[in-house]
Amino acid sequence: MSYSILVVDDSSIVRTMVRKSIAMAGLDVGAIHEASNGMEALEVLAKEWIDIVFADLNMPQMSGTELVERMALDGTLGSTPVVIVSSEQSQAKIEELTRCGIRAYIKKPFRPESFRDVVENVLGGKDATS
Amino acid sequence: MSQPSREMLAATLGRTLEEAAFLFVEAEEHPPPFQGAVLEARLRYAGDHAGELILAMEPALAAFLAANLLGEDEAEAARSADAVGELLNMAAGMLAVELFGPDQSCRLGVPEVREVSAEDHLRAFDEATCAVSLVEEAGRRIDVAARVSLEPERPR
Repeated sequence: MSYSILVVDDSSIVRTMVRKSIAMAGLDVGAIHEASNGMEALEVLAKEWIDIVFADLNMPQMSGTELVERMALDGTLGSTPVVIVSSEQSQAKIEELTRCGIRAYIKKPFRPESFRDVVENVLGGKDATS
Repeated sequence: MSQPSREMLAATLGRTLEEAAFLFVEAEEHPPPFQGAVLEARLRYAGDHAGELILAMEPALAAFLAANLLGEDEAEAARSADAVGELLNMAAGMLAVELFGPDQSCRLGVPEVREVSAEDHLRAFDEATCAVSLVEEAGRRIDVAARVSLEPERPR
């Protein structure tokens, strides 16, 4: 199966790092879309089929947390898995986001294999945190 | 909860640079002066106390780190500011756990990066609550500082 992926981060260098990590992970990726905040992500999600979203937390205009909450309220987008990729490392924050419905959490700085493990686990039906 | 210290700043930034950009640094009491303007990133945080973190380096070193982050031989100049902001963001995440513990939430702002004169940066560096200069293997200088405010602030 070829995955369609959305990368959401206000930093263009991080979006490129995530793209490269996904490419290095050996996943069968069809398309990688990008957005620089939650608002732009919702626009992409309205137009494109996305299998999994990798989103930062702290972004201008709309944060990753707001994006997760908005997606959860949408009948269609509510089932699209969201993985948070963030420098925030507190267990309290991760637990709060898990209650909001995220499927996994990747801490920055990350390793390319984190993306392979998370995609395989999340799209294989299991939750994962790396 | 603890207050930021020079050792804490040096350790968290050192770990970040090592893990993300494969750069090894050490604290230096007498760092070389900056040669011209520097890229300075600032990021606000708010937990049990609030404050602002500052990271600064010369543009040439920032370009080198941008290339390392991307695993490329060299990066476009436009990536340099982004790299400084993201490295501060990563270090801030580690520092928040050191300051507030793993079970406390700390809000981090969005990093803001701008080019400033060495004099303006050094003024902010001197006025910080704690600050430390690091040097990498080639002797290039990296400054990291924290300005703690007693009043809670909203992260930008």
